[in-house]
Amino acid sequence: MSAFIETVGLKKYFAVTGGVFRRKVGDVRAVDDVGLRMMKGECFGLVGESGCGKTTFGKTVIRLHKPTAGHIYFNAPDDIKEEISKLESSSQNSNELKELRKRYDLSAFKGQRLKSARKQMQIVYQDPTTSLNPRMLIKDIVGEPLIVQKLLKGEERRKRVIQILNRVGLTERHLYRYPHEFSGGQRQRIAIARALVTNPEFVVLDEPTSSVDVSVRAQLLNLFQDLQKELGLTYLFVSHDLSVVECISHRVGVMYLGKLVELAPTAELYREPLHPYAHALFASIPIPDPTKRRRRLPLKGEVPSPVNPPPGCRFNPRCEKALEICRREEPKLVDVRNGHFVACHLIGS
Amino acid sequence: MKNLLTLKDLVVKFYTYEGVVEAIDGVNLNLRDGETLGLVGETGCGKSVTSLAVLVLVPAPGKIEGGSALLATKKGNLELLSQKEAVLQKIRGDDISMIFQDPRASLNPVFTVAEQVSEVFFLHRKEELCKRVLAGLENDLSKRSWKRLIYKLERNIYKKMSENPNSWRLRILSKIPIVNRYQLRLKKEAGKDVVKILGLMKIPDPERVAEMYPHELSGGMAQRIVIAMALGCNPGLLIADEPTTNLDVTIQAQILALIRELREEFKSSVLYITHDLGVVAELCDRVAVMYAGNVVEIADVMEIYKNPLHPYTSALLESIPRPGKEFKTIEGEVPSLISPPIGCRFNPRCTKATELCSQQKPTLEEVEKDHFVMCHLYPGSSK
Repeated sequence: MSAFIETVGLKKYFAVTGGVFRRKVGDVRAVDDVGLRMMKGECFGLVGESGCGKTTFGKTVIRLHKPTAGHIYFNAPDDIKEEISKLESSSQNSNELKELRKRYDLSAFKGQRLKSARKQMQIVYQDPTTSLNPRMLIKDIVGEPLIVQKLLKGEERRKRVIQILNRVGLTERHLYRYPHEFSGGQRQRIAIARALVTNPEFVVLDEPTSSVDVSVRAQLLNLFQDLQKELGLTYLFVSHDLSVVECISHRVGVMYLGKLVELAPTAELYREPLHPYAHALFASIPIPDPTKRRRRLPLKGEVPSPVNPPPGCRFNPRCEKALEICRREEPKLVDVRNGHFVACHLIGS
Repeated sequence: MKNLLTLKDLVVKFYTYEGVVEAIDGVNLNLRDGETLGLVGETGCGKSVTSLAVLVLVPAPGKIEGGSALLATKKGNLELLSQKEAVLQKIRGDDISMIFQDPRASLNPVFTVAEQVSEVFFLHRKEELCKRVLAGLENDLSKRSWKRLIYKLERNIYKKMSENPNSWRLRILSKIPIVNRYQLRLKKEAGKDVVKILGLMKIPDPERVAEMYPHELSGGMAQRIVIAMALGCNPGLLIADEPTTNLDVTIQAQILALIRELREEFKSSVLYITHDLGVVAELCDRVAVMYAGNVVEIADVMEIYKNPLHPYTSALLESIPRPGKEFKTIEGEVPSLISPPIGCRFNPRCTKATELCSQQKPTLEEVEKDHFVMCHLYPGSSK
């Protein structure tokens, strides 16, 4: 099966400036060489601690950030991807490469082409209180993408807005209200309606349930699942709430300090995480069942700074099983069994 | 087992422009000696207000309107709500202390960790510190030194201080430059305690961390410092208001392990406020479930997860996402507490509601042994 969205060696560095002239003194390596493939209609979960680059990755995939290096393919044919990688490795025919990238590689899109590509991809942010303009009516908030993309006008736009509001569980009555009149769960529904109004195929959900209560969270998760089935959406579900990701995702990727350390189908990953970091992460989820109370050894230390990450495997200073090679060489993400990818020296060999 | 804290019919109201918010409407709760009680509920159900009422720190426009809060302190039983502010200040930090949700907001950015943590020792352990300083001074005086005159002066000051730490003379002395250098000894002595308690919090290299400012600390470290401040005087009751909500799971696991260890070591009871049912299952001995300003169910942690009696509790437990199952939700939304529903406050969302539920408010009754429920479905509650 061909990938719907594919990233190849995606990097996003943020410059750290210092001194009198604000010169660049270093890089925050928020996303460092991440390559993954998402299938059509899939919900891909991305988990990790705060500051590991999962949100930056989500934003870079839909080009809210310009990647420092790497490719993003959005529904591009396989032979074109091969062609590009071939041209790149031969480092000749640079004109041809440029031409191909301009047409197929999202990371090289510019101007009008980028804008029209954005119709296909949307994002729902973490906190609906800050992502909705408090001075705009709901009809304007939800209708704005249609104005920006020049899709529908006048009565048609209004109809479309009502249709999408109905779909997320709101009604026509809510059109002429302001965001502050809604509860947290309803605000998140408005944010979802705004994301879906242009009929996108790919939606990045950036911790959409972290700011709502348990009972509302379940309502939103049901909504996400229904919408996915109905509209055939592809989700990138970014979250640090591992139990939510377990329920909604088909495949899950674990990130640590800008790197993807493990990627596997959800059930397999939750049953048997292979990477020591993933193992520690899953062991620290509190289980809502007092009979399964356990004495466990929490992971020691804290996440190092992404400005100068440790050499070799980035997890080695906190890893209990670290070997000599872990401090020298960076492990590659390899397929250990049927689509279960791990980046660890202990498991690769 | 002895009760450490008993709340009876506690009522807290907030007088806002939109109307009177009945935030706490007759809360009955008891915390036994040495246990960890989890207080669970959704946002705005009054969990935090309950804990603030225990400290008599409800912010304006809130007012404690009625009820009682009985605390077994180190010096006997005390009714908290009728005490004067001066008495309460002695109790806060010594008998009850609190950990707030956001550790960064609870730390002052312009003071070092040592200065902030030692404050609790200055407030509640001054006499003990004075004694240690005097012992040190005697030691210094026994040596021959040209500073003997200064030491003698300092000895006089500290003797006065151990008699009455808040005398006006000392207050004036502490404001005079150069003369107030006598305080350095006290600070040094408190610094030793700070390092000791930071070490207990499993902070690596406590001497170095003590000299840091809050912005240099990570979230997990800052929370450890706040816990150190709270446990400085070995309080009988520790109130933890969602201490791990802002932290990552791995750091959360570290902090939970720390709290678990410390409550054994300090023999403190913990009132743990959270909305995370997973954390409750891991940490607590008993659980109290709150909904819209009422405690609707109290039971042992095993009992409540296995046999939830109140419809809200069972709905809450079912809304935990579990793989392979559809997400069950609670229909409707948390009611506005300005005009709460008449009768049982859960009745508009309850699937088992009857005529009686929308007319009369149920009371919290012991339905099974050690299992209290506030619901008309169970006989006894509808008296």
